[in-house]
Amino acid sequence: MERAANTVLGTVELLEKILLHLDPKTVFVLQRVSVMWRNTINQSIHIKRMIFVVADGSVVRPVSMLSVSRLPAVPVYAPDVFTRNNWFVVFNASTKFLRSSGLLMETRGHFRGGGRIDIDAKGNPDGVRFSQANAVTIARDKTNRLYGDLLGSGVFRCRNASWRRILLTQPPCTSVLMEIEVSPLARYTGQVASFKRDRTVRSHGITLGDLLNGMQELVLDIWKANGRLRHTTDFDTFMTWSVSEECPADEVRDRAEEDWDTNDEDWAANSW
Amino acid sequence: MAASTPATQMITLTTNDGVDMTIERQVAERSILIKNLLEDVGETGEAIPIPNVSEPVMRKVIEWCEQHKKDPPASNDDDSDSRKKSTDIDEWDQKFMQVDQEMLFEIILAANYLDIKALLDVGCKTVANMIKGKSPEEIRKTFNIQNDFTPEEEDQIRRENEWAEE
Repeated sequence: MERAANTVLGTVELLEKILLHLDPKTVFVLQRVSVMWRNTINQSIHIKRMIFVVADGSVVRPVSMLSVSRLPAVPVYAPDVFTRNNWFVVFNASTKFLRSSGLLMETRGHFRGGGRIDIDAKGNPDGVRFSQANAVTIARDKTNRLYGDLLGSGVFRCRNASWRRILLTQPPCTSVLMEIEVSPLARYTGQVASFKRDRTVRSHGITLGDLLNGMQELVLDIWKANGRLRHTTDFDTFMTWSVSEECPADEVRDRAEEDWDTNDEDWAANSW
Repeated sequence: MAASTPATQMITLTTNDGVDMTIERQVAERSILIKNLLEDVGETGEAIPIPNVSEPVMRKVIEWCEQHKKDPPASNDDDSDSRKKSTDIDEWDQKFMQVDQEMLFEIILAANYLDIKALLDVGCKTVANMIKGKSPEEIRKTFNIQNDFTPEEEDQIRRENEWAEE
């Protein structure tokens, strides 16, 4: 039965065409349908670009972000993220005017999660483990399509989880600014324990795995700066990441006219 | 060249079950395969054999080509813009694609063979819409696909992509 279906779904080029119409997150799951589906997904350059594991276009040259992060943001685009109940992620792509050279586009994402710092016998940190993600913004591409979310306690269970290979932006960026707040470490200093780092990670583009590793380093920095604790510490983190890139002005200008969602105010209230 | 204008010129196709179908050249030329064939062979007036497509499928394909005969010709850069496509399908096409599953896949095969890019796209989008929201198990069942992973392999893929499962 269903001869034609078998022929279509058994033809790599046609299966590829079909899969390219689906959202990236679904495509990851569909690797489990059969060996042929997995191979098609793993071997198609077009699909791999679409699911953000291979660079689409050249990497974005980083703009010195610590210096631009103080410029006023002009919101230009409200993605449909705000209308979905299961995303309580704040996502913001905005432009900033950068002297006469044109527009600077900024993409921001938030992460909230929990974890634990383990201490070895000598009282040195043995590692920072994240145990739960309450929200992670995932990647956007140059048309500002959003990618997906990471939620739940199962997110960090697998060391080889495929999300670790996902590029933060598409086309990829080589640099991301991370600002992190860790509690309850603040308790030990009487102030908010937070760090900010302009981070250049990989020439081929920063992945979500890189972002997680960067967070682990920052948590350890905060731990060290807050008078070494002698016991295993559970913590909660709130991290924002942002990527700034120069954009062709005409690409962004159209969107500047669009209505901006009232959630922009939520975003402003959340920033710190 | 024939005296008639291209818009009213008729050509005949012979399907693989031996049925002759006479249609407007402009309609037939939605198929790049037929268009190229007509340009290469010239005006012979002979029926063009379509060995991979049966009459019922050809009727559906021609119905689509009739509806879309005024559409601008397809562009060649299908790779670069495939990323931006959504699964939105226009209303007429949606109705057109309300056929049984076997016919849907027959249309896709015919569109692929005849090189009718826009029809192939609509077919692929329709299948993509059928896939949306289904688990791998449901997809196997819907399309009669054999799970040929070892339990270990499947388990590994499941763990790597657990974050993306609903």
